[in-house]
Amino acid sequence: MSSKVIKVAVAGNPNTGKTTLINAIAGTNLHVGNWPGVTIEKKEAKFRYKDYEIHLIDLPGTYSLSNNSAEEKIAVEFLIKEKPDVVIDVVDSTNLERNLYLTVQLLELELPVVIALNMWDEAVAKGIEIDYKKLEKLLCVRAVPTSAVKGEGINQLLDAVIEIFNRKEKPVCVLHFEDPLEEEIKKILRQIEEIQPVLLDLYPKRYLVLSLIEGNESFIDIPVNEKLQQIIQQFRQNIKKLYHRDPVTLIVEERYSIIISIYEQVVKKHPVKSVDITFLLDKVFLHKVLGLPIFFVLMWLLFEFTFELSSPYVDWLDSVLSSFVAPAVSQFLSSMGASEWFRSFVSEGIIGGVGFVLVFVPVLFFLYVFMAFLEGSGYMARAAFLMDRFMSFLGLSGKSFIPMIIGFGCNVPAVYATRTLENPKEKILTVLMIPFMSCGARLTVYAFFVTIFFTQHKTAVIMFLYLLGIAVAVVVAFILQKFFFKTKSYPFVLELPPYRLPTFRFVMKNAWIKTRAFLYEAGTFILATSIVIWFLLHFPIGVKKTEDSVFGHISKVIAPVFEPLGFGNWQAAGALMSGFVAKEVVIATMGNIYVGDVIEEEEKVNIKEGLIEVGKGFVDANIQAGEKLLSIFGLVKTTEEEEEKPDTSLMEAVRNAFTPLTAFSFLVFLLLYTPCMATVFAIKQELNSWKWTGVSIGLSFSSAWIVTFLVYNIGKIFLV
Amino acid sequence: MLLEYILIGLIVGVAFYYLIRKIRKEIKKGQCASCPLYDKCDSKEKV
Repeated sequence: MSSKVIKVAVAGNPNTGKTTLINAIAGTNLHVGNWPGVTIEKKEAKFRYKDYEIHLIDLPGTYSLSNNSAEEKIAVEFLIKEKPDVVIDVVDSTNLERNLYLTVQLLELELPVVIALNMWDEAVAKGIEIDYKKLEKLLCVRAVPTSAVKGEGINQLLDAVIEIFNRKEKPVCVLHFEDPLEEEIKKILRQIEEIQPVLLDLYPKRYLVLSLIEGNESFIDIPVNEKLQQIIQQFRQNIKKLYHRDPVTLIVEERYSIIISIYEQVVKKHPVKSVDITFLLDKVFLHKVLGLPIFFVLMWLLFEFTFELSSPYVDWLDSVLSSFVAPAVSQFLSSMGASEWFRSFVSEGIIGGVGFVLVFVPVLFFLYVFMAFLEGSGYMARAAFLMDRFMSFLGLSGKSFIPMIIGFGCNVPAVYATRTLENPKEKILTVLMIPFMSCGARLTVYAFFVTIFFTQHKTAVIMFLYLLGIAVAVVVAFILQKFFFKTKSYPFVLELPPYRLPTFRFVMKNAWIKTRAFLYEAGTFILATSIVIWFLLHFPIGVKKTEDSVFGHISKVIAPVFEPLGFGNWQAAGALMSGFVAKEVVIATMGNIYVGDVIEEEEKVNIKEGLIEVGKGFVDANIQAGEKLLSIFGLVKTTEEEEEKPDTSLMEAVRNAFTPLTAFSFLVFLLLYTPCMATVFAIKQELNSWKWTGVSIGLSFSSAWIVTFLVYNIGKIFLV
Repeated sequence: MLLEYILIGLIVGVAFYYLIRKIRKEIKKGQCASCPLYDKCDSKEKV
């Protein structure tokens, strides 16, 4: 028996928990965060409930359906053109008055609505009592209290969706404005019926008329008849004369008067003795003078925790790979009579390539854990707010900083996030700044180098690199703005969400989703790239030295470009060249190049003993991580001895090939140079221009060269 | 030895094929992202 399909759109204001609700309903893992603008595109989730197949469509958060911003356009277009069977309107129960504006507009669209009164538990805690049964009657909708985070009210919500879907007569109320205005609206409707009736077949009547009055016509696909336009114009003038206000303001006021009337009938506020934590924390985090230093201290702590807690696991994985996996595999291949060439393929192409990337997965995991904590806490929105001052200096708004924050995770979604910027110049400028934001992939390379060269100053070096990326982006944007763009900054309106303590589950789930994506990438894409690089390093077949291979020859041609930067050898040039595919491939290439140079005849490996050692090592890593956590808070002192780590073959080779200064210059170049392939394609698609894509590539490469040249040569002066 | 050559040849071939497919997919993904409602895209991002 085939089941019925229900198409359900999930709409609501930003940061009301729409995506969290979808994840709770459908068991999906869509990205969520406690800050507005996390979802900027339509996303779908399918699942079965009772005898129904439910298709949920997560629409971007919007405050209204006025069709002004990119988010509103996406939502309106979907709601009008794809006509969902039911709309779940997710409202923040702690802020019902503001959220009802969108609800009123959804009813104007004549859509069957089920209201999810989300964050119901928070509203109760704040002493807000909502008579949702009365709300249902007043709006002709179903309303269900929910808490997406706790998974409460989910089944009742789905039952309400099915009930509305199965009703033959869809209950849609028309919320009436003042009588004279209603009369005018009816008159216009009659005129449309006479002059251009097709419009009434295509679009919801009331929404169409109100949109025509508001001058919001971009959703209408056919040209509006000139006579009809004149009538609308005449109406606007009449309204101005009659009410001494422009029609757009009048309609907004009418909607609000309905909302206030409903709100007063359904909401009761009981006094609750509690401290407003958000207010108190904002006094500190958004302080005019202290706000930015606190932001930098938090960044410092983020990296300090990331490195301190991940280092025992990195060391453990490193020793597993170097002292157990690599020798065991090599021993196995020798016993099978494999040739040296085949053993080289496995030890360099596979273990040297992917293995050394995987070693740094704990660094990424801990970074993602702390990023998820900040996202869930609501601090990210504050960071954007703090940066607004700087951004306006560059002719940008704090809204541009949101894609840049996303860029710290990965540049690709950051580029797509710029579609929320309406001003084309602002959008181009922001896209050009994003590749300078240091992504997670680059962090694996930093972690590798700082482990070799800057053991005592890991956090300082990484923090410097992240800040350098921001500083270069700011300088480049300033120059572009001054001479080429001349953008005007717009006032930035951002709703600051309340601070919330993210749950352990939320943080771990968010971090795991990202780490899993990286592991998948390492097991597929990076492995494939590493194998191809190994092949190019050994082609033509029979080549004695890797520098005489195709890869070696190409690398040698470009190596002189890096000579003034301190790393003019073909190995470094080749590694950077491969970094265009993906930044973490730089380590994979180094693994391919250097491991072959230093690999020695291994000692005999006893598999059973080896496995026991691996287990013991993991237990030790956990104990060390615990100690490090306590030592950060000054509760335990770690001994200096613990910092001494034996070098693996790759680390030893890289230590011989670089000095601390050239290694640092290499990292600066890696931070700033040409973005990876996926980012380049994202820029091309988002800006729809090869010219601007070329500008981005050229800009990042030239900035990288100039800044690295300065860093290297200034460093030489100080170190001589 | 010949078997090893064939095996490595096959693995490298698959790796090359995978990379080319990945690049094409990235281009396609970009195209999908540029049309917000995915109307003109073959592959819809679904979960």
